[in-house]
Amino acid sequence: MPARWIVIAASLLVPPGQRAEWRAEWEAELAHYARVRSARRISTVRRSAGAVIDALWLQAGQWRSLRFLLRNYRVSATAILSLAVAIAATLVGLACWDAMLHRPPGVPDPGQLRSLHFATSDDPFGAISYEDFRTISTRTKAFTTITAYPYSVSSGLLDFHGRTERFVATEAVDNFFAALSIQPVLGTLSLPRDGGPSGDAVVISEPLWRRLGTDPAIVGKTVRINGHAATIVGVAPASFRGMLFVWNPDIWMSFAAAEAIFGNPPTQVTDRSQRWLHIVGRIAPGVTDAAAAAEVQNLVAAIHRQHPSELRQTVIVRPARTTPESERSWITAILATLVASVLLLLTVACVNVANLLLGLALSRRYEFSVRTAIGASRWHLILPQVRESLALAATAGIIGYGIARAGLVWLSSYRPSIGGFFPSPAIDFRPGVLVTVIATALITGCGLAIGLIVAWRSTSEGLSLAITHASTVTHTPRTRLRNGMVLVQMAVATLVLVALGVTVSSLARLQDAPLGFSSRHLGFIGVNLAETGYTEQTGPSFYERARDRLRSLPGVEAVSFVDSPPFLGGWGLDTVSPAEAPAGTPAVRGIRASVVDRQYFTTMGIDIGKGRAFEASDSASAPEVVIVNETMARRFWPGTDPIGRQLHIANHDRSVIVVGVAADGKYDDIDEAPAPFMYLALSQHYLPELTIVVRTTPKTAPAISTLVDRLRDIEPRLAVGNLGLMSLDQLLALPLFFSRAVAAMVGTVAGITLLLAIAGLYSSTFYSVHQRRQELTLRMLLGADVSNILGLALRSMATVAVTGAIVGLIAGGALLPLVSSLFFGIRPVEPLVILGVAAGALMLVVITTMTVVWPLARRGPSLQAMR
Amino acid sequence: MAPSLSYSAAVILQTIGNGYAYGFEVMDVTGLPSGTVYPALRRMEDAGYLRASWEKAAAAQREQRPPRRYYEITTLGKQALADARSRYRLLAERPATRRTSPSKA
Repeated sequence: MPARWIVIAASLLVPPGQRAEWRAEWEAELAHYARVRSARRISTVRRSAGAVIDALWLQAGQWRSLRFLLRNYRVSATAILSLAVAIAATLVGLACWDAMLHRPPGVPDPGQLRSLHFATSDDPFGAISYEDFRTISTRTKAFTTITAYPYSVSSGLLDFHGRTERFVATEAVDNFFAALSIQPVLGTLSLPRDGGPSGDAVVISEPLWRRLGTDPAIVGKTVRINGHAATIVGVAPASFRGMLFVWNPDIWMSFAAAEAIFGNPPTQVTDRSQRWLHIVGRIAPGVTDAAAAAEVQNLVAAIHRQHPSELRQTVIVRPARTTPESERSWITAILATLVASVLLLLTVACVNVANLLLGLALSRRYEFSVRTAIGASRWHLILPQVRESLALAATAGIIGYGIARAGLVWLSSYRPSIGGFFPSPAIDFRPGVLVTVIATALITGCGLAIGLIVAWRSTSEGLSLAITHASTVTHTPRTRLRNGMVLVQMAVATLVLVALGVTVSSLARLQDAPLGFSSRHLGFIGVNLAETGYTEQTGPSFYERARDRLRSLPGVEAVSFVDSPPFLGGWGLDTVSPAEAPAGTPAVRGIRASVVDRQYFTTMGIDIGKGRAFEASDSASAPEVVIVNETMARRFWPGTDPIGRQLHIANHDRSVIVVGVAADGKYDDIDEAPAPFMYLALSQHYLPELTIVVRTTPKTAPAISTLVDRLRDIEPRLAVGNLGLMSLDQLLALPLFFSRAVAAMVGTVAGITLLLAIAGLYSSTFYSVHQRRQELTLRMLLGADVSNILGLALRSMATVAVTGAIVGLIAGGALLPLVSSLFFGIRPVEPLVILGVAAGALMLVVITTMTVVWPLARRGPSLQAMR
Repeated sequence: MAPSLSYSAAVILQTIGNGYAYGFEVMDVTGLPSGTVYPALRRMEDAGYLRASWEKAAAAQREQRPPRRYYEITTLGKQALADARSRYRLLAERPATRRTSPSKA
């Protein structure tokens, strides 16, 4: 019971005479909390946190040391604030680690939940087809229940009694909520199976229910999703944030509903080659993961015997986690960097606080000497100082926890406007019990370490002498310690600067990466003609009228149509092979394909290197044509001209003629490697739901809402589809979001570390120079000028600081090859980054030293300093 | 002269005066967090406004729980509360007297 441990830990702060009674009272209270907790949902852990404050209050009454800290409130406040910032950053780092990599999904009994992966040579954590899922779910004995869902979402607009809301929706099989033991807030969470009766049923999330007005009778009511009527059958609790990474769905629907609303192909539930579902299940009592994997492997082998064309898959069973296995490696690397950075930051802060307290300890040397003279042991001198640093650490911990918690609560409900999506995070970042316990241990450890270092140093330097030479300062041991602290701070600050340099360089290279299209002033409008009664016969004429209408507007240079613009996914996937390939040559699966009109390449600025773009002659009755990208041309026809060659496409078993080769581009991510891609002609593949791409002039571009108004002049009932309205900047925000978030995170940590390091360096330099004031004044009296004094101070401080910077640079240089692959465009050796950081660190040292020395040197020799 | 009570302390003192005798109950009735209630109870015990006593072990054993520490208001506490009521009008809107006293037998 964590609450009891908190009370036991807090009792150590209570004065010994009161401790037994204090613990008895709190334990009696906690016993009562535990009894009523299940009925009233009272958090005993939260309530027991009050015990810490209670214990501190009791201790405060006893501490003379606190009065000392209050007297020196400026130093105390500086120490507390710097430590609080570092503790807040540490808590954020630890909470992110816990939420994304450690904590199981937010469902009841998560310990039984397992993820099933179906590894192939291409994908170590592959998915499975709907038919295979059904086969396994009916035959498995190792799992009491299994369920399936895709790692994909769709977005759009819903209309509920005149209230319009954006949403993110996903699909799930009928037993999705039951298998995860999720209880409804309202109604039922049972989705219809395979498009049976009530195929239009949807479950909505509690946050969406609240956005729609918290109607207690919402179950059974109709909502229009992208213009389609659907029935709300239940409300899922807010504590369940779905099973998807990043996305927190507002709506769950059956595959049949997704087919009707988003136009998903019906083959996704009938075609065994479409592997798109991820499986989680509850493992049966007493069954090991290995036994479960072996059982499912046998089922997969049986499926393979029945359907020999199926891929050979290896079954992997892992405990279910919030972050999918396929994403864990890079997230682990990034979070490890973050946690290492914040721990370094905490180290810097501790060093600073120790430095400040060492300075304060100087003023107490006389007090300590007197106490030693009248018989106080060393322990009696150490104890109050340890208490002071513990009190400082506890205060900083409470402030830091408050700051971190506020930030994490905000992060957990943050809904960024990325392109047309308004997702809220699927991850609850709020610190859990584990993080709170670790943070408490870290804070206590920091307090103890700082206190012991300061106390040991301040009581180990000839205290008896201090009575007779109260103003004398013993230099050597403390100077060594102080120099050591400066060295550590500079090393850490330099290392963090290297991390910042790498992140910013990577982001800059990502933003400047060639996208494969040259146009930059683009607008995108999603339209859905199916909802307004257009058919395959009437739709094309609307597209032509829309093009003419938009093209006639001032500021519009070109208009085109595409099924889905780059970076929003939604591409078709085909299995293709060159038609002339020898028999038995395996076809290439998963080639992405986009349907575009004949102006698409000129509108987007995509070069056609060989052959031609689509033409008016490529009609529905003409032979089907395709344009491939350079990578696909090289892969399928190495060293030969692909123009005029034929491709065999498995879908509908057809052959198409290659008429052009387009430049490679980025399709899903800016940092993706070149991959095969092909374009199909809209004139040969009519689609009712398309995105209109509008290229505008930079200065006289009409607003996208104006473009929509002109489209509605042609068709007043036009439904603006799920993409909505967005510009290229908004479109690019999606793939850049994560990199920008990482850069902002590292930048924040680096900025705080740098500020703390500057403060530490400044205080050390200030203290060191002021210790040598008599000597420096004497030198000035003997004829030393400002530059001599500056040089002297720089030599004494800068040597240590520069050594620290060199240590940081060496550490950064050594770590760079290990992490370079995680960042876009970063090589194992980055001379510019290293040189930039070295120059920055050097400037930091020189400016800090000059800031301290300059006023002293300019004032000239002072008689007061000689006293 | 006794130090004047803060509003939170006055609410807690009034709650004890109304018969709610231990920390958890006070927190439930006042809605104040544990980090406020317990230090305030200790301050007011030190100031002589409250008197604390342990529940008889036999009573606690009957309910299979550890003995609780009960607080009751002293004469000095009643004077301080009367003084606080004249300053904080909102105190009058706080919960009324508890119907049954906690068992201390």
